[in-house]
Amino acid sequence: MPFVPTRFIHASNLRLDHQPQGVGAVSKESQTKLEDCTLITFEEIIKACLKHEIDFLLLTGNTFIDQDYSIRARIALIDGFQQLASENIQVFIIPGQHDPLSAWDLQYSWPANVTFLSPQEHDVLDIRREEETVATLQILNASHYKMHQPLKLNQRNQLFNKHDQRALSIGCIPANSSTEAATRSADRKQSVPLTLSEEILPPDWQADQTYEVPVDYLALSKGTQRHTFEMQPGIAHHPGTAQGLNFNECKNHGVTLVTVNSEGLLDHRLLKVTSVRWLILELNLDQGLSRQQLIQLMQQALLSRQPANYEKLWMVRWQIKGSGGLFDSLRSFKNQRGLSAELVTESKDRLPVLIEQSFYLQETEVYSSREPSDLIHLYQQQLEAFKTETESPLNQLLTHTAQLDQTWHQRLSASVEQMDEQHVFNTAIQNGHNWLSISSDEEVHS
Amino acid sequence: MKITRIHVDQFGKWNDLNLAPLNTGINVFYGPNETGKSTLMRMIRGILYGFQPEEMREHSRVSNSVPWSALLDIQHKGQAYEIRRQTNSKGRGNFSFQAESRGTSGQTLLTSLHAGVNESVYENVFAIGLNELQELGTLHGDQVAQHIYGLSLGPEGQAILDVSDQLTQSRQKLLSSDLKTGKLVDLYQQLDDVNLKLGDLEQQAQRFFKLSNELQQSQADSDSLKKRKAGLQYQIRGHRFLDRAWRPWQEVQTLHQKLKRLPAISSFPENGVALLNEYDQNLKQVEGKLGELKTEIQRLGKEIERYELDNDLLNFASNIQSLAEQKDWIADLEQQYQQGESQVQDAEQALNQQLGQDQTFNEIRHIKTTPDNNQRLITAARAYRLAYGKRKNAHQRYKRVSRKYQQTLALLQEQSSHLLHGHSIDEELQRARERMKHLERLSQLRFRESEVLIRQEAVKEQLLRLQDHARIPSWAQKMLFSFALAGMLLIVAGIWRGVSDATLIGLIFCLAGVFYGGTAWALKKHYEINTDDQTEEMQDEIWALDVHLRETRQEIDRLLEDEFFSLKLVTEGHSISSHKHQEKLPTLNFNDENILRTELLHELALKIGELEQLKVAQDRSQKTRLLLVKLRNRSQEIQRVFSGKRHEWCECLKQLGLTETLKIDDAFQMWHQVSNVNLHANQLDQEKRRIKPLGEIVNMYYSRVRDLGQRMNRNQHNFDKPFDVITEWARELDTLSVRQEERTRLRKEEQKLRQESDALQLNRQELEHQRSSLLIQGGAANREEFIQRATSLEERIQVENLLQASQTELEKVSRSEQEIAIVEEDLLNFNPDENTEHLEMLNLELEDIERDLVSVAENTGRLKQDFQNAKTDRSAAHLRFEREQILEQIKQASEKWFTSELSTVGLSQLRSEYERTCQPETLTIASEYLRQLTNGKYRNIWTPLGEQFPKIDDQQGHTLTVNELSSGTREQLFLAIRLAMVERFRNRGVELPMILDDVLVNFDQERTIAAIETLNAIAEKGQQILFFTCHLHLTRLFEDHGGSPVWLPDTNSQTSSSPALFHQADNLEQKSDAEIFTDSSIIGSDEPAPQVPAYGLEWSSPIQSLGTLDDAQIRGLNQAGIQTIDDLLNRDADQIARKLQQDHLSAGLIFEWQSQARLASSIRGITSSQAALLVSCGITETNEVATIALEELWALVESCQQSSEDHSDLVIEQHQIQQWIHWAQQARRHRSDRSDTALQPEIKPSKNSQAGREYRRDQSHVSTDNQSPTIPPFYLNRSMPVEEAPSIGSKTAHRLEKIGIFTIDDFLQCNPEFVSGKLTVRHINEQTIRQWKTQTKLACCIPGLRGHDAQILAACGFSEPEIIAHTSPHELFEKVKAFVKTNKGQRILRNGKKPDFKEITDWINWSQKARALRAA
Repeated sequence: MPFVPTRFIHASNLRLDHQPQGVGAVSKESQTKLEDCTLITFEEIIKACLKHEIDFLLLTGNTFIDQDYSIRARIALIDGFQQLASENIQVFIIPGQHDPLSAWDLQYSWPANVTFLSPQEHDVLDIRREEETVATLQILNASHYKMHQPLKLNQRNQLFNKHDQRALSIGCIPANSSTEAATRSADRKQSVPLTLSEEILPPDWQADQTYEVPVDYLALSKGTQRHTFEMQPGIAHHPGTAQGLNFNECKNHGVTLVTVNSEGLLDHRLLKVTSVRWLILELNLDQGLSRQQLIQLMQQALLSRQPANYEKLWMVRWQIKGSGGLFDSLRSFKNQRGLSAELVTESKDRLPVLIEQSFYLQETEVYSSREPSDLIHLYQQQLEAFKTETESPLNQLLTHTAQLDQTWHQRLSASVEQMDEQHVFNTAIQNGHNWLSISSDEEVHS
Repeated sequence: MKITRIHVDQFGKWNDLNLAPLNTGINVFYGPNETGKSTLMRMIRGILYGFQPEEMREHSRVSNSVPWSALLDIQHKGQAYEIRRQTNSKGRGNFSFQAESRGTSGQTLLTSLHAGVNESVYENVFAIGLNELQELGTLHGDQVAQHIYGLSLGPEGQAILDVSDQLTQSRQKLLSSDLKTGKLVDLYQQLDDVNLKLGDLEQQAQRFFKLSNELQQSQADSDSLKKRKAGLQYQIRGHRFLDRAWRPWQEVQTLHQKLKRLPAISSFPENGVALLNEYDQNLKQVEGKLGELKTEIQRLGKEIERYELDNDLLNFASNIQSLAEQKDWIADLEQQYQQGESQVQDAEQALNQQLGQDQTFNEIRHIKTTPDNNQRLITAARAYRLAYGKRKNAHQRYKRVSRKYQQTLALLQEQSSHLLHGHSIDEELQRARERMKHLERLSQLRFRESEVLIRQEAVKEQLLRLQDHARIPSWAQKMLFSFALAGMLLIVAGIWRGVSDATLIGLIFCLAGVFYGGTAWALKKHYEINTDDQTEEMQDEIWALDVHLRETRQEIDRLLEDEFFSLKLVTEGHSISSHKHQEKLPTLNFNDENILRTELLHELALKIGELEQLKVAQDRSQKTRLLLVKLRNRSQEIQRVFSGKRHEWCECLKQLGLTETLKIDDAFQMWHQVSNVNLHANQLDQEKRRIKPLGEIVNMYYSRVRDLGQRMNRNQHNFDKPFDVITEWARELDTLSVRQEERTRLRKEEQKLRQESDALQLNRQELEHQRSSLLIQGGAANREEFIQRATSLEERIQVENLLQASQTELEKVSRSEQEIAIVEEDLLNFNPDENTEHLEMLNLELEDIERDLVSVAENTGRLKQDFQNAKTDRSAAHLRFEREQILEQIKQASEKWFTSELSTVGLSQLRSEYERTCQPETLTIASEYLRQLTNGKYRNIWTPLGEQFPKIDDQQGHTLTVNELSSGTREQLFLAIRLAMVERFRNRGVELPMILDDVLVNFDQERTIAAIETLNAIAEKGQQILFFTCHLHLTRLFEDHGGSPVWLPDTNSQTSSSPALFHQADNLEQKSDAEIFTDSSIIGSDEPAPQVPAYGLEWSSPIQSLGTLDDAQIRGLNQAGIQTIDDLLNRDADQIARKLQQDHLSAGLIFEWQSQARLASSIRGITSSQAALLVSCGITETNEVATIALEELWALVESCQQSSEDHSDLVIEQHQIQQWIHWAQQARRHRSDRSDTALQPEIKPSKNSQAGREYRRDQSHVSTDNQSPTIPPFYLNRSMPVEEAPSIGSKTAHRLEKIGIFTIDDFLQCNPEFVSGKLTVRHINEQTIRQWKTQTKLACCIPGLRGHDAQILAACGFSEPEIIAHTSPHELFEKVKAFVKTNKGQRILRNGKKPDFKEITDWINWSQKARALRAA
């Protein structure tokens, strides 16, 4: 049966006015851009909505972060919604983990085109375009959907559609609403790291879901990564976050424009709207490379990417691997800054965006040719033994250093969670190499 | 190098000593204390490295300056040498040698011998005594330490050390150990700040949300206000419009109404009204006339009707006439009849009144009330009443008398029953009188009885008196009898005399006797006869009286018998009938009887009186009875008369027919009634008869009238009053005739009027026709309508005009307000006042709303502004961004921190691993030795990287520091290290012999054996060891382990003994030793009993031989020109000190040395070290030793010894002291003394002692540590009781002891917090205890430091000896000076001397010599 033709934009994890993470010192201008990036993105989304003449906008979770208490987010939302209201575009908001329904302040008079769906709501909502149902929207909850499925979709479609067409049925899985309370209280003061878990679908979803509730479009909202699963029938889709906020979210981001034509084809398309692009560029720094060459390399890497007109800022992280004098010189911030400044001036006219660069150096093993001294060997062994013998070595370290008091213990153990254990170990070993190799040299000399 | 022979030409106390041959292995030398073992050790070192300066000095002081010279035969590198050193004037002696082969210089040989081992290393490693073994410091000399540790810190170790330093630094930079500084701290601080600000943001956001809500609200408000405003304005307009439109509309409406009301008139005649009026007027006139006529006719008709006639009455006119005529007569009759009837009624009434209730007229009717009967009744009544009165009187009198009699009789009866007891009066009277007599008689008798008794008594008394008087007293009788007897004797005598010599005299006597006797007899007789007579008389009298009395009594008894009971019973009210109790007559005493009797008498008298009265009364009553009988008779008679009379009366009544009654009044009343009734009855009958005919006539008349009435059908009349009816009828008849005439006249009149009216009727009809035609013309039914129509027509025209005008006006108004439709209803309900009111209110409201609108607009504006501000406020985002940045930094920093922590962990493990595995060889070897020495208890010696102290692992794997070891183990450790070092040296080709001076003394049995075995093992490895000991058991142990000890000869006796012989006579020597031991048990134990002990020092001995001086001091003294003891003693201590100008050489110290030297050199048997001990005990002069009591000195020495127990060579026995005292008394004198004392024998010692005191202000101390005389003794040891500690008094010490702190050691180890808590004394807090501890520690560690000095130092902030040691004297002095001036300082010092610069300098010096606290 063909669908009622419709078109909508699905966006998730807008995180309006949430701050980018993992950013070092940046210029004033860039900072402003970074701070505003989500808002600008939202504006872009609104523009896109208007431009594509969609029927409705679907926001699935984490539209803003409650704990930010952001005013600007609120204002931006109202502005945007009002704009949509003027064009009769409906907005459906499904609260997520960080923007629970209570945070939306329902007393406030949102524009009339805005509809809030509670995660506990399981009734099927009809989305209409002038008297005609173009789609149905339903919150699916892994534990509830079976019981609350009073009508098979086909029946519904027969009921509501006069033509021989059926409305697109959209299912929505809210981000873990059950654990919402716990997580909220837990990291109240912390910045909100979004779960990057790979477990996007609830367990045993695939098995049951396809048979029991055939939805044409399953809106996912967990995590920040964009992904699509083909289901039989329909697709499950997560548009990812509209605007990445750290280097982990450097992949394609944007919103999804879903078009359903009368032939019953469901087409989803990524609309890029990001104002800040997170770029991780990897470079191999060979021994003999000169600085100028390096700059050229970097420039090439940069210029290979085309800036979109909505992009305002590129956050570039150079992951440079290598060794040698030039590499070592890059360790100093001053040199890094000089390098990036040079790069920016060189590529200014060709890249009409702001560029903020950071360097992430990864020294390649240069000592492999030489026999490591006994000490280094021993040291490495010790560390390795420590790592393998203790369960969580970093926490072990915390308890090891007894001078820490309660607060510090807490603080540091909190930071342990965010830390790359391997990285720490590598650095430590690297340090050991640096320190102890000198003495071995001396030993050789003496 | 191996020593094969030791030969001493002259060295110290040794001369010409030859010890040979020596083993290449271990050699044990036994010699008691003072034998010169240490000297030998020094000598060997001296040979190898040159003599020490003090040895040189000592030598130079020796008077017989034989150069010191000693030689050793050695094997070195396969060559045999004989090396020798001799003292020379300068330097450290000459070295010379003889070798088998020539070709080497002395110097090269020495260098070869030394093999790089310099002197200090030699001293600290090869030649060691107990001293060296006990001090860790001896291992810390640069060179020695280098040997032990120097190589431990290889480049790798160094690298590790460097890295760890670096790590510590970087960790410190990131996060300092106190968690207060560091990059992480700063970052977290920043984070906290930002978080704080962000916390504010929450509120800000809420404020914003509130604000936006408010804004919305205010906008809504404003909208609603505007809406309301518009509404109001519309309303106002409406009202205004209404106001304007209403008036014209109203008019239009009213006009419309009017118009509606007005009928529509089409045609109306001209002047119709006037015509109509005319017609109407005419019509009115005609009708008026017609009406008048009609009324006239009617009136006439009525009048005629009124005069209409009643015919019935006329029919009976005659009857009525007759009746009217009879009327007056009948009326008179009737009146009469009525009167008669009323009289009858009265009479009847009276009769009824007379009749009683029960009586009927008929009953009374038969009683004849005749006057006879009346008379008869009256007489009968009179007679009856008379009789009745008589009877009543008699009866009454009788009754009265009878009653009186009864009373009297009753009284009499009572009296008699009271008095008579059933007897007659006379009888009773008689008995009473008789008894009276009896009683009188009794009283007489009683009286008599008493009289007789009195008399009898009197006689008896007289008799008695008489008898008493009559008798001669017994004494007279006796006398008289004796006279008589004497007379008899005299008679006998007289007879005998008379027979023989003087018969005459006897006779005389006899006669005299007879005479006296006779006289006595006569006298007696005379008196006695007289009285007897009288007595007899009296006796008779008594008898007479007695008889009399008896008689009287008998009579009394009889009387009493008769009377008593009766009397008694009479009084008690009993009858005297029972006489049974006669026998039980109680004997009454006199008084009772008297009283009873008189009572009885009185009673009897009374009774008699009463009885007499009773008799009289009986007589009288008898008389009364007689009278009574008489009276009764008479009254009976009267009664009979009365009965007759009564009968008569009754008869009379019966006859009269009255009811029988005894009452006369009743009878008469009845009689009277009856007569009255009869009278009235008669009257009644008469009256009745009289009125009867009258009644009949009247009734007849009445009936006639009634008949007439009935006939006339006039029932309306009251026929009961026939006269009225008749009168009526008559009057009616009269009026009827008058009316008939009148009617006829009126009929005529009527006829005329009727004609007149008919004419008028015609006229009127014409007029009406005319009018109606007019009305029809006007379209009206009647006149009103017509007129109305006329007016309305007029009005209508007018209204139509007005309506026209109003409508135009209304149109105009409505045109002005186009939008507002006119609602009729509104207009209908319109009220102009209300409307204006409304309008006003609306206007006011409008104003309000406008004002509100302005304020809301303002508010909105403001809110909008705020909103805008909040909207553009990006601080929140900014802050969050900042926080993120900080977090990033923190992440990086903590990553670094973790890295460095991790590196630290790795490194520390690396380090410990390294430390354990890569120890210097020395320590590895030493570990092995230690294991052997401690029988495997301690295994491993290692030293931490970069440090210079050894650590020891024990069996259990614990790691201990040196301080944690017991002193014995420590010695073993140090020995092991030295052995290891020696082994290493040996491995490097150094073959110096090892000299051990009694190093095993503190080892226990097992470890000693282990040590000996170890030493043997080392010796087997090719190390030559010279082992000196003063302990026999050690020697024996060595022997047991295969050694052959060398018995060192006594220095003092060795001159005579040949070493070889000495050596050979080894066994023999031992035996003799044993003998000596037994011998010496009296005077000494160890020493081989010297007969005359040598002097410890000679005047010429170099000052080195004092033994207690160190090199520097010796050098100093040498510089001052003091080479020998002699020199030392020649000078004044102060002088020397001044000359020396050295800080560490104080006058006190020098004085001490002088004293030591003096003692050692003046008293035999005292060695210099013993002298030092004595000095430390406070004994500085020889004569002090000589004069002191043994016990006292022993006590002193013993206490000193306790503190220096380790120094076995200083063991002083009591017998030694005894010797000392002995020798002190024969002490030699130094020449300075000699010379001085010659001049001023007293001054010097006093001076010296003064100087001594100056140093030793406090003489009480006994505890010293004479390691070196330059270092003053320690005033505080850890084993001392806690009371000795500075600042701690006995009280506090007591308190401390209570909580288990007994010694200084305990105190130093205590936990101040705990102690202060335990003490619960307010002034002792934790701080105080810490302070005390510091003081105690100072006093413990720094020699020569007193309690108060320690207090001062601690108060000045010096808590560690090291700090003091490194402080410049000036600085310290300034501090102390400043402190001493304070109150606290004064308190500490009390009256003591302020510490001067010198003293403070001493403190610093001593601090440098401070011992470790643990080792102390």
